[in-house]
Amino acid sequence: MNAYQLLKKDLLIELRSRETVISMLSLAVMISVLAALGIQNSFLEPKAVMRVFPVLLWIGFIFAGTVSITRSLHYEYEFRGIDGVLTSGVSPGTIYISKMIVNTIVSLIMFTMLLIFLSGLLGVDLSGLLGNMMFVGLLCSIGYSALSTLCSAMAIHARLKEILLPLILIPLLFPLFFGGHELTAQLLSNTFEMGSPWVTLLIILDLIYVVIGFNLFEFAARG
Amino acid sequence: MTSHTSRWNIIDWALWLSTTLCIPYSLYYVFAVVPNERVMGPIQRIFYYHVGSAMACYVAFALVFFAGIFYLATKEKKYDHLSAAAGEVGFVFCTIVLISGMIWGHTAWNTWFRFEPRLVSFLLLWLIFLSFSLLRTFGEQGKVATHSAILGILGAVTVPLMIYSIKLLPAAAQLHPQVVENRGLKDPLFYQALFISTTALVLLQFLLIRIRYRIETLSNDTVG
Repeated sequence: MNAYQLLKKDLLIELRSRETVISMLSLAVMISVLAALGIQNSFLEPKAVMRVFPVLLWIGFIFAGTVSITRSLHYEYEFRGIDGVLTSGVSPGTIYISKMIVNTIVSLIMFTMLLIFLSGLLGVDLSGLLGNMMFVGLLCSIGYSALSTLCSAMAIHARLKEILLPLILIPLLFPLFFGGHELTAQLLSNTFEMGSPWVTLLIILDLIYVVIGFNLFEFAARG
Repeated sequence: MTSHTSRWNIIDWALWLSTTLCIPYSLYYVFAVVPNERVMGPIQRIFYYHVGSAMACYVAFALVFFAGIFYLATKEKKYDHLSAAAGEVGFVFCTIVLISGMIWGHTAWNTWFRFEPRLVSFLLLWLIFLSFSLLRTFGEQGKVATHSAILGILGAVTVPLMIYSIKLLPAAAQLHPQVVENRGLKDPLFYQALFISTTALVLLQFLLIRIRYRIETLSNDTVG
């Protein structure tokens, strides 16, 4: 089995079961409705809504993602599929990259839906910003998936597996959260630049987390 | 139980002796020798223990990082025990930094906490230590050592990036005094007190790590 076949297998599993993407999207819709109801009942000025929008967006992203992200690895462990893949000669690093790519795609879809729902319900105008918003979403999704894929391999068999993943993952996500939040705020206030140090920081974070995940996944998976 | 863990060696005695000498001396120096700071008065004396604890916390974090790397490379239990000990002691010192900072901040700024870069970075460091302790307590049996080594490495890589990311926030958010960087300590006695208290606290931290390491090793030998 080569890397391409492995990625195809992971994508097919996700496409057929749709477990991760459906649970993430449903959570994204629920979070959007809850956030919008809270904001509407606070009678905030439109300018104030624009200022809280990035916080709501990224908290929603982290919450919906962290609750659902373990599904992609759960399949492998539940049916001992990972043992079969490892004995077929595929390196653990390749398994990690394959899982990470699938998680990035799913996270990006979830980010897009959250963005559309939240902006629609809160009346935030994103016309002309969608391309750059997706770029920021992609940068954060890569870093997020790189970290969460590694951490979910560590939490999947723990006694408190459902709660342990957010507990170990969220403190590590702060630089990504700051980056995503600041760039979204810059986009909404029309001060965004491609050369912003926040963009550089997110790219560096993505690279570091992917390299660490690629090298340490073997230890996380095998123990 | 093995004999090498049940007996104190020369390092233990040296640490014990130097710490028991340094701690009272730093208390004497900070409270009896150093004059009151002109603007803030006696509350400024908390600075010597606040900065000292922060240094001890950084040392503990570095130990967690290197112990994690060595454990993954060699799979020797002693590095896991060191990582567990440094993680717990680092968590205690990080808590001391936060509490002493809040007491100082309440007097200086009339608020217990402000979302200011250095305060936030220590709060996040505290959260990473907390998640490290939670993973060690509730992690997967048999794999905790490897998993906590990975989390230690991830945490150590994240902290500098986090500090850098916080520094990118608007300048208006910066409130914490840059005392040492801006040469804000006018009297040489202030520097001497800072050096003595930092040395005392770092020594205390090494002693606590050493004791915790021995407990971890002994309990592991007993279970094993």
